[in-house]
Amino acid sequence: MKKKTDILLLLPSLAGFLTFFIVPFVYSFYYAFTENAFTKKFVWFDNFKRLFENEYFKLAMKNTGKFTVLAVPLTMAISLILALLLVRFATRLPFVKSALFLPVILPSATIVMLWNAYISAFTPFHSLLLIFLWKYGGLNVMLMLTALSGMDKSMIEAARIDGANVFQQTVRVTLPNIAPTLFFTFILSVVNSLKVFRESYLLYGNYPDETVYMLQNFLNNHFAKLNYQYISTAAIFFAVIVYTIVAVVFVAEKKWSESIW
Amino acid sequence: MVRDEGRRGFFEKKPGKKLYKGKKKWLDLCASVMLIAFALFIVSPVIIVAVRAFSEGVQPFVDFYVWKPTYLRGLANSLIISLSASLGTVCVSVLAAYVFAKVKFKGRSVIFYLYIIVMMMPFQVTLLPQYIVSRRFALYDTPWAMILPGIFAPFAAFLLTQVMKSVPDELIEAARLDTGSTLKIIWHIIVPTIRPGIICAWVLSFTEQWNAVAEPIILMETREKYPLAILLNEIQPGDVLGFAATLMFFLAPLLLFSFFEDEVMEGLGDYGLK
Repeated sequence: MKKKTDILLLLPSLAGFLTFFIVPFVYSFYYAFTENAFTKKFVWFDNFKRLFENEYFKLAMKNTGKFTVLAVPLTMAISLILALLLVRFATRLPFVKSALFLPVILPSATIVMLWNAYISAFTPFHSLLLIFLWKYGGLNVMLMLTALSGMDKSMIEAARIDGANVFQQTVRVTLPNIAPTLFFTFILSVVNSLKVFRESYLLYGNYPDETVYMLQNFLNNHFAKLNYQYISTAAIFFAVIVYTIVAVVFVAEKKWSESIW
Repeated sequence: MVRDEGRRGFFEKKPGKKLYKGKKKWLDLCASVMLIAFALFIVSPVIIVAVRAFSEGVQPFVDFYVWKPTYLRGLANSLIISLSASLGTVCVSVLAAYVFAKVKFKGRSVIFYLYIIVMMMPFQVTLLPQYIVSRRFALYDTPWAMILPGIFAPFAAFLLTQVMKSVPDELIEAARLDTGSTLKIIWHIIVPTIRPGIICAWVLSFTEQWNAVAEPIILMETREKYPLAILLNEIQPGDVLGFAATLMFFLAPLLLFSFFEDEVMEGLGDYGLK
């Protein structure tokens, strides 16, 4: 008994979404493949070539890659351990649960003010790692906790009766069971690790230490020059990398869950 | 996966839902200590700032807001942008979520995937497009340059769709017998049912806008129009005024969160369930 006109309810959202996100994004493809705004000459991959030869772009790529590769597994491991511990105690320690979520809602601008007291003791790179862990670790724990709480406990019980110790129960039964959530938090962490620029910018401004000069700094600084070609090219490259990671993880998850069941 | 179970499991406050069996007292003790330590690590910066801010009484607070019209205006700007964007996005997204979750049509999943993809995009990628749009539509350097993309950001639509999936079809079918208007059904039946999800989407969207740093820098240029987040950054670190300002600034999200904690947690429970 659905009404045909119901579909119209999507229109307000979709119209705005197309106008402010999709159509302009298609435009940036156009910029990435043209020489400049005046000649409008189609230059194939020249902009990409120029970009890859840029010293600062290379530095930014290196730093961003290093940060993501370090920060994501670190946060995942710590969050997972905490979630496994917390599922035992969640009912007795509600304070911990609220505390975990606090950084997600605290504004970045204030986070930086908060951390200024601490971070002078660390290198800029380590400070960013610490802030990342602080800010997103709690969210990961929350999501993992939700999955853990929803698990069928009889499976663990069965493994225990079969003689599996706590470690084996965790690796063989618990983790495969919450695999979808693990992959989801992994992707979320990757995406969030690319957002750490917010904190970096507030701490170190437009021209930070060489070790924390991220892709986002590069994009931001080229915004000042309004170099559409550079920004579009870098942005598209950036997006391609993110989706490659997401796609790889997605395929890996499918393969993994198939191999288990 | 037993999804409903998970949703319930997380929020029930009954004791004795241990994942593993066993009576290892020392393990319990170690774990508790670790968890409390981690929680303190997370909360500690907030406490430090609160203590520092009050180290010279309430004078810094007075200085910050009463005598500095710049900051007062910044606060007003922040409120205007965050409130309009977050309320707007909840309104359009509830409607969109209803369609995504309950109306079958060709191309639905394609559009929904598009929303997800944009949602995951680092904002540097969407920033140039947003800048181009704001220039073209003469939104540049007005609050609308922030508000409109905020309203149509895909996050709330995604979250509410996940939440909306848990609304039983029978409930909607039954309501159809009473009224022909889908809008009425959404307003009177669905909105009260998914209230926690809606509040969660609202609080998180509000915080997102309140937090925004890179967007205002690029989409606005007049200092008088900047939200507070940008102005805060100009205060010298270590300044008592800065600590007072910081405390005042995160008061808004903090109050929202403490007021709606249960709703936010519950809504977020749906977020992870794909």
